[in-house]
Order: sequence, then structure tokens, then C-alpha cells
Amino acid sequence: MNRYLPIWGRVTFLCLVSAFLLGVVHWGVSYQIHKQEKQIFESLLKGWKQDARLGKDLTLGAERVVTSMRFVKSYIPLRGSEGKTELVMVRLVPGVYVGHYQLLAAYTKEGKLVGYLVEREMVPTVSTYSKPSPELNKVFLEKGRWTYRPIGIDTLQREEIETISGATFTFLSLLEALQEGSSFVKGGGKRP
Amino acid sequence: MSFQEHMLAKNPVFGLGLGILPILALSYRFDTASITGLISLLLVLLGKGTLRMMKDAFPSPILRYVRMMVLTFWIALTEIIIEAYLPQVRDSLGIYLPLLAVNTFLLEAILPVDQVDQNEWCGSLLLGLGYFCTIGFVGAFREILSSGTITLLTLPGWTLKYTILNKPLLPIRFFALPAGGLILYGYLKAGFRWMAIRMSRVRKGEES
Repeated sequence: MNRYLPIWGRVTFLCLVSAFLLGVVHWGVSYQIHKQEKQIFESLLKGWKQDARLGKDLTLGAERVVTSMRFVKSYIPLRGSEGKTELVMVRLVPGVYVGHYQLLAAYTKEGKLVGYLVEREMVPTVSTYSKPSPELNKVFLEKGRWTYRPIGIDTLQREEIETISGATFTFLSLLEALQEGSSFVKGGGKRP
Repeated sequence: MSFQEHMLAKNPVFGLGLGILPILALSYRFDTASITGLISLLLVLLGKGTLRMMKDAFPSPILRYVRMMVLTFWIALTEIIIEAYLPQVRDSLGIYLPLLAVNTFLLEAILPVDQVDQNEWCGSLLLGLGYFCTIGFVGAFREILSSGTITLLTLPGWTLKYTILNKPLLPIRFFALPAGGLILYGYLKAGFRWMAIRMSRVRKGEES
């Protein structure tokens, strides 16, 4: 037992030093990471403004940060001419295998999904020449373009997603995030 | 062992069959492949340097676990820096970026067998360079075959890309798929083996 104690101590020390160094480096570059995330969010908002079909007469309110939720990070109320909230824009961050991506979703006050916009194109293609299959077309997400789903994302079945090899987790996390956003808006901006 | 032997007979990918996963998954484009090779080379050298510093602090049976830990630390550090400054590279490499720690561990594991202590650094450097050159070569070859282009560099909002194959030559998209990569790997392995055997025969002929 005593023979292994110094080795155990050294390994623990090495782990602690590694964790500390990683923490310091992450703290050092976190400003840059947040800056990029903010830029992406602003470009998504710009995408909303460019697409006049979605609440063109509405004005953007202030962004409100949401803590302690899995996917919902913040939301922006969209107000009509009378000052009433007509739509709610929710900033969602679904996770994938490694890292994450941002998603901007618009809901009615009742939590019904109107449309969503993803940070990057998410089509598991083999090259720029390939065409998406009919299954894939249902979840075709193009960068910088709103995907309108007035009947709701829940029409998309899990089995349909699982036909898309290699993108299952990505699309499942997208579904989960949109559902969490809906529950959040339905609950009046409170954690469901 | 000569430089040519390191690159052909002892080539980590085609000679020893190591690090095939990144070759199949990430060599569909030259820039992704070369960045993978570069990170692997850096990992080999950083891992070697760090382990050398703490070699005496641990008994040899523990050392392999320490090596894995050291490589994991370096890849985590690389990942944080890449996420901050080159997010598009992180997106391209995806899950394979953290897996490079395992890849490098396996690459390094073959070194002590045929390397003497004095040549340890040189061997590591050659191994890393061999992997870098191989994955870069496969990346360029696969991209030209499958897309007809070669992507040298991708930065946010800017890509340096050249078209190689013009009409009537058309690219074969199949080679961008992992299955196409595997077939290509087989042909390239056969080619490398043929060159290694030929070189060995020439050497034997010179000796006799």
C-alpha cells in the first residue's frame, strides 16, 4: 500500500496541475470564444431582419439572459405597435458530438414554433454536388435562411431522423432544443 | 535507418497500418488533412518533451498511463485554442480532434521498439513528419479525385482553393466517402509496399 502512495500522489498532482493549466488557458481565451458566439448571434438576428416575412412590423426588445437551462440561453421579445409582445425570439444552443451550434427560434406567445434559423448548414452531404434525399429534405437546414414550420417541429418523427446517418445526434439535439424553447415560452419565460 | 525507409517501409499509415481512422475520416480535403497531420506532429513532439521531463518521477509500468494523460492534456489545450481562434477547423475536425490523442499515443507506442535512446527525438520527429506528409498527400489526392479541386487554406470568410480537374475530366465523388477512402488506402498501401520492396532489393544488391 505504502509503495503506491507516492505514485498515487504524483499522478493526482499531475492531474491537478493539468486541470489548473487548462482552466487558466480557457479563462484567457474565453473572451474570444464569447466574442465569436456574440458575432454569430448578431448574424442570426441580421438573418431575421433580412427576412421580412417574419414579423416585419415588430420591434426587437432587449435581450434577456436565461441561466440554468439546458438549451435556452436568452430570449428577445418582439413587440407590436401597441407595445404588446407578439413573438418571442429564443436563442438556443444545442450540443453535438463535440462543441455546439447556435439556433434562433421564433415562437408565438403560446409557445407555437413559427420558424428557426441555424448557425451553419447542417446537411450530411458527401460533396457539393450531391442532392439531399426526400427524408433529408424534411430537415434541410440552410445557413442564413429561415426554416418555416407553421405546423410544428413535432411533425418530424424520430424514425425519420434516424434515417439520416451521421446526423442523428445533431438533429435530435435540435428537436430537443426547439421543444425546450417552446416549453420555456409557454411557461411565460420561466423554467418549465 | 534512412529517411526514405522511414517514409516508405516504416511509414506509420501505409507501412505500419496506424492512424487509419483520421486518414479515412478527415482526408477528404487537403486543408483538413494537413491540419490533422500538423496537430499530430505537434502532439508527438510536445508529448515526447513533457514525458521526458517527468520520466524519472514515475515507474515504467505507470509511464504509459502518464503518457496518455499528457497527450490528453495537450489535445485539450489545443482544442481550447482552436475553438477560440479557428472555430471552422474545430467544426471540420469534430469528434476526431480529441481522438487524435489516442492516435498519437498509438503512433508513439511503436517507437521504443526500434529506436535507441539517442535517436528518440529524431525518431519522433520523423514519425510525426511521416504522418503529416502521408495524410497531406492522401488529402490532396482524394480531394483532386473526388472534387477536382485542392483547398489549401480556409479562414473565416476566406478560402484558398484551386480547380485542378476541368472538363472533360470529371471528379469521382465516391472517393470523398469513407468507403472510397478505404479503397484508395488499399491501392496506396500496395504502391508504398511495392516501393519499399524495390528499395530493399536495391539496397541488398548494393551490399552484395
